[in-house]
Amino acid sequence: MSNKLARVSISTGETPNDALREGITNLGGISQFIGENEKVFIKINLNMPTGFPSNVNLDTLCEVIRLCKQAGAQKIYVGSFAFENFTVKKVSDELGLSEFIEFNEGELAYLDNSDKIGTIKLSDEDKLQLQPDSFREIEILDSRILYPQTILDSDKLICINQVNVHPVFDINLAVLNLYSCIHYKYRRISHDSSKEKSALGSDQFRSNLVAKIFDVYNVKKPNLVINDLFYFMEGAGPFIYKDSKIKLTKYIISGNDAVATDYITLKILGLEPRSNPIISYARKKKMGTTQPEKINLFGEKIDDIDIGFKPCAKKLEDINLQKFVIKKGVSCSGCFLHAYYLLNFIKSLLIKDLNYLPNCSFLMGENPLEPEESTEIILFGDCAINSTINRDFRIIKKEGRNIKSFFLKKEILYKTNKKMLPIPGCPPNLIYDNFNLILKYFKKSNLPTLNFYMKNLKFIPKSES
Amino acid sequence: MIQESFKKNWKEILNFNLGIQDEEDLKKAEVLVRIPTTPIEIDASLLYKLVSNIYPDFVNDKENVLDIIISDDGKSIKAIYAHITHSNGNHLQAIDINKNIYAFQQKDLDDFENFFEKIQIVLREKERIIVSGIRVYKAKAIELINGLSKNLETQDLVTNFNRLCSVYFDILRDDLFFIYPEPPFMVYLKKVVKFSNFVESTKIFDSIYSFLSNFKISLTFAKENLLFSLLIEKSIDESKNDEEISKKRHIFSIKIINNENSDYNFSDLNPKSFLKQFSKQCNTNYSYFINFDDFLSYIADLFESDFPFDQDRLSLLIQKILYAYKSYDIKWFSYPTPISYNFFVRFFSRLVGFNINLKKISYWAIPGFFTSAQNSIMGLYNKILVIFTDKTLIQKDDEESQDFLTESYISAYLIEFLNGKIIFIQKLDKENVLKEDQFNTLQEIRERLSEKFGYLSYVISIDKTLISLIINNFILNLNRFNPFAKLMTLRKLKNRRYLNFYPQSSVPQKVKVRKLLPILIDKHEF
Repeated sequence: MSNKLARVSISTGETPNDALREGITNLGGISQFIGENEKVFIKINLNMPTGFPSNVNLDTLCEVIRLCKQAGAQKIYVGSFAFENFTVKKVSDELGLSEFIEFNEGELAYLDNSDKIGTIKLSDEDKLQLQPDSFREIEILDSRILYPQTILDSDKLICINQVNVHPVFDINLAVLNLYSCIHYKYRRISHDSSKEKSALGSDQFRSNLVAKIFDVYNVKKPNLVINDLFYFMEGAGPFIYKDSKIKLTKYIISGNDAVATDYITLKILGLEPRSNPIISYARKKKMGTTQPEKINLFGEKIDDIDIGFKPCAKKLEDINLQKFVIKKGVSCSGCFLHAYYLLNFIKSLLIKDLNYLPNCSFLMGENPLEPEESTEIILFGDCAINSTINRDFRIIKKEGRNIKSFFLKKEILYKTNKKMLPIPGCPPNLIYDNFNLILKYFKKSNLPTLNFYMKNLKFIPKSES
Repeated sequence: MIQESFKKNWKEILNFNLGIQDEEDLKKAEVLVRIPTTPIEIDASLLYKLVSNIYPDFVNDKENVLDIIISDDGKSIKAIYAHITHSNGNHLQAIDINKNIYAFQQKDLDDFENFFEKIQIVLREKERIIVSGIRVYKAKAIELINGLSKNLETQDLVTNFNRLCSVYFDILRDDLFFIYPEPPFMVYLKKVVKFSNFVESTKIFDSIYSFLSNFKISLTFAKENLLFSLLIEKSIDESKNDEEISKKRHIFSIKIINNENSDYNFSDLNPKSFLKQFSKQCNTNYSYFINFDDFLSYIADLFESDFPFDQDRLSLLIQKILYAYKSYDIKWFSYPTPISYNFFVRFFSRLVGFNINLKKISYWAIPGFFTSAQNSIMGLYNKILVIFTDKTLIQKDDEESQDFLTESYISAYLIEFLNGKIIFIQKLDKENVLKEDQFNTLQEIRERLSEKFGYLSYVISIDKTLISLIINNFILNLNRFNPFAKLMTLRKLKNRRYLNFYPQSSVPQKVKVRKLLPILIDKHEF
């Protein structure tokens, strides 16, 4: 980073549009960022076919498009890859996004080519390869990823990040948002836990994830970053709506440096930026501005702002899922994150099913605690499965007659405990695969709501890779 | 100051109440009075009992109340009446008090606690009356109530109810009436009225009335020492004379029948045989029997709620309704028995894959399922536009017609939700919603209005006929089998002329009632 000061603005207003306009004015106006006849790519949150705030606030997006038009932008693309196996088309169709963006003189970029696929069943890889021109192969962290050519070809990149709470990074920051410039397949961090014994203690998953996030960030850095916390989601978040609430803060943080903008956003929310893994990595690697004295701040004063909020549960036990007892061992952020989503989705969507389920012990991490007696056992992740192979709970001792012996002698018989559901993976796959295993294990008669969601609505997309 | 017919009726009520010394007096007396401000007649002894059951719990359970009429500017007192009341709330006597007894100041309206204390002292010293509460009316409120009481005898009930809604809306919205100590029902009603700015108060009853088909039902409420029925009828008088060939006369009537007069013993009362007999006697289509205490308890829950309801409170209130609905033969009865409770109907519907056992309705899970679906689909902050249409207004039902909305438009409401709770409703003018020179599809309406009101998540159009069909086939006609009519109504839900929304989410389109039943009905039969 050069010695030039990063510029960040804290603005407020009665509507998101007012707050945004004020923020851009504080930074010197839109012409500071967008020139005439430039191609602009606006990176948004486009996660799921659900309502706000798991996706971008469309009022903020429209205002940004309007400002770009005012600055004389020639073409404005809007896009992102979606969460897990959702396609951009699915999200757009459910929310009517494409037409809406077009009406506002932008264009939705189907980064995953999902608009061209129609009903043909293709693997994720084939989908991405459908138009070889639409991606450029880039090498990061010893692996090759496909990065959308539309983003690379754009003259300017704007990131509009809807700020919600996040289970691993406290809140989802703009740098994290930019990570979904690549397909979920390439975002996944997985490793062979058996080979990396020390990986758990030092949370290698999180370190790898943060390093990869910055590798993707460095491919193309945004020219303008907007952290939209006008409507801020607190509680369970970011995709779980049951125990979450929207808090009206009326603030928008914008800046020309994503790391500096994230730094100030964390500050405003009363969080210590240096203890955030993303900021601390940026600081270590000298990426972006992480020194407050090098940030030129405009607009409202940080000290005048007090936004108390309810963060995500830091422990799985705090999710308070009826009938589930959490028995944790040493685990990494990967398993935590995936278990967090799984348990919260169960809590939000399967209200009735929880009443029909038997009591369950949810074992996670390496060497988890012993499961409760007479409960079904869910082994979540490779660590939990592999480290409990020789545990007593896997075998049931029962007195009975041995049918193999000649006199049907009475003796103690050993049987494999079948009341166990292993969910493999390091970390396990996200929603669909886990729910599918749960549905098969507990039977659909015990899970009417899950069966309804999966079989009838196909609301949860199937993994095709 | 008070209108004569109102005063006369009120005096009759007071005189009757004054003569009641014990329970036996109530049985002996046979006096008919009007419910104040309505043309509905009621047995005075029944009114006495109703007040005894409702007033102490909902308004005030102590004796005597002071009515103060003040000028509209709130600067002076126009009249004071002390009402001597029983602790059960029945008013016995109205005493005219010298209005100069207290030096009223405008600021008294801002601090009722202080005002009440001061006037209590004055009354005790000068009139030797101790009151437990005050009711303050602005002169305009009296004027409005007086207006209501005029020509009551010649007024039909629909007109009266429309005027009644309008007057009470005006009184509460413009703060023309206060009670101290303020009971929860008053707080609640004020919130309802102040939130409902989008409602045309003079047409509330008309709107409800227009959705109902003809019916004649009785609702019997019962508890220890109280048994009364409401006989409600909506019909069309088709008897015509030569001059009125094309005119049909709408009839809407409510009768309150005091069943106490017929010999009965509450503990021995068999609701089913009572209903059967009563239904034949009154010639009703449906007769319902409801436990009055349960009914009052639900109303009390409602009044203790904030308005608009937050999602958790709404879920709880719906859970209670569903629980009551499932408690057929325990908490409520009907004659004839609802068809869904008929064993053979249940058996055959189960054979074809429909498990409709309403006694096993999952009252505990249904609200949670729907609120979770609402939050997931619509999000935690969103605005939707609901357009009401009337298909009967268009001459030719052309599926492809672009003018469908223009021709069938009745009204449109913009609804704003935050955290699953409605926070704002605005009625939009037709000119705001539809443009003469442009296409008026739901997509175009959403795009146009999003520019003006902020992003609209959904635009929904619902036809009035569909609402009417749902009310009549699934709510009112519980006793008729007629599966064809019910299926036709369900099919209309998928017809875009009756229910349409944009964006065309795949979720509601794929929902099939049969697939939803395992979520709505409990798995275990016993």
